[in-house]
Amino acid sequence: MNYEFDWQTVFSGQYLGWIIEGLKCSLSLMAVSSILAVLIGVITTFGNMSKNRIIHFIAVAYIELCRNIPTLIWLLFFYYVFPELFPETIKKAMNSSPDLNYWAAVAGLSISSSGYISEIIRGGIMAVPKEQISAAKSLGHSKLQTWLYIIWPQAIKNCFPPLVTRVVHNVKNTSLALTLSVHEIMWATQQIESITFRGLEVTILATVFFLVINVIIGLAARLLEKRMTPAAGH
Amino acid sequence: MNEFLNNLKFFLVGPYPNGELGGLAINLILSLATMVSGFVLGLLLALGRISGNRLLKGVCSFVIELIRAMPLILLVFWFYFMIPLFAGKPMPILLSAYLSITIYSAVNQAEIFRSGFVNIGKGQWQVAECTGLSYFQSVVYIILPQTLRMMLPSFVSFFISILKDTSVISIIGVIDLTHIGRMVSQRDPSKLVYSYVVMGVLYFIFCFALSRLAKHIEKKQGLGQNIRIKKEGAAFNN
Repeated sequence: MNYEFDWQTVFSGQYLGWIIEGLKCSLSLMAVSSILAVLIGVITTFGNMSKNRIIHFIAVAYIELCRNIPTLIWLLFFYYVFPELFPETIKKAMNSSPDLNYWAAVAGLSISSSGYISEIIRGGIMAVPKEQISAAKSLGHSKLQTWLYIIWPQAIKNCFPPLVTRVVHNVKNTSLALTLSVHEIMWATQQIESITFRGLEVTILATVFFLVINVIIGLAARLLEKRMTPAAGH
Repeated sequence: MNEFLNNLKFFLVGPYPNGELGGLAINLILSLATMVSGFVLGLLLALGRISGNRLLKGVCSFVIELIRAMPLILLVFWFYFMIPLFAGKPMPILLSAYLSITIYSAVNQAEIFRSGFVNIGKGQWQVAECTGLSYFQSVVYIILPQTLRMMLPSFVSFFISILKDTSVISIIGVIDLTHIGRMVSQRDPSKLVYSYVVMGVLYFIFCFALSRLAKHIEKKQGLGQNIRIKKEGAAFNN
């Protein structure tokens, strides 16, 4: 088949603007939702490991909910249903806010990832040998010191590779924000496609973008892991 | 009560007796079908990736890495918009959904296979060769049974992930559970919360049951094995 590539149309005028806006929006969505997901994940882990039964139960229920409901449903839930749960005035303010879709996407993405991340971090903490904690105690470390200097550095090293996998998953999932018409890269490319019919070009563009992001995260993860090794290598 | 049951039926099978099959049934069928076809394709890709032939190895690694970098929805768009462009005629949406999820599941299962192969070690291949088995025989009788048993929890976890990811095809218009939930909530705004709760509960029941199954298998398999696997197959074992 003969297909004439026409990159000129795609990279001209308002379309170029859309693409740049899309790239920016995608990147901010990726960064914000990943950071939030890790934060919520850490908090949930503490809840999960708590000795208080009620807190433990709530954390476990939260984790299972996050992990067993598709990300897309979470996104749609925060966009359509979440504002309905509030009283009339707050609901109106939320529905008229132009950033509702962006924040709904952030909330949905970070919550659906946080369940997995919490389990990963718990695995990392559990993998720290119990003797280390007794040793720290016998050396006279307080509980806080034990956490900060003994458990955390090892736990982070333990759970780093699966954590990166999960963050990459989250980064890829940001493309689902297209359903809430957040102006991220997939939305921009689909919009350009529907106007100019240059579908192949824009789809290639989106693919290349995700490839580059993946490669960058992979390289960064490898660098970080190398840095971490001497610190925990004793 | 009757109305509730009717509604629930709509969520489960869509407008089925009077129309095409939809709802949760589509999600289950599609994820089972793509799991199977992805299994075969993924095995071939993984075997290619560990083969001695440099060209084959390069091509398989490239394909796996390329597709793993793409979000599923992008893959779905590739098949939905681009294949008709090349083929010159439109493709049924269900077929394009099936093909794209198959590819997605193939590359991910290839990675599970690969971590299984790494865990088994080269010794098994060598022994199989020494006893005079052909390549095909050693894969079928020696390597696969061990890999499958070892990686079974990962496969179940991946099936859960596929079952959840099939919700993406609602974007191209397949009337799956997500699509039906959105349809119900848009038709009747008073049912908004209701329809999302039903969707969530249905997904939750199936995925939760499956994840319990995965945990059960993992426990049954004994501990020594799993510590090793967790390091390699962490992607879907979490």
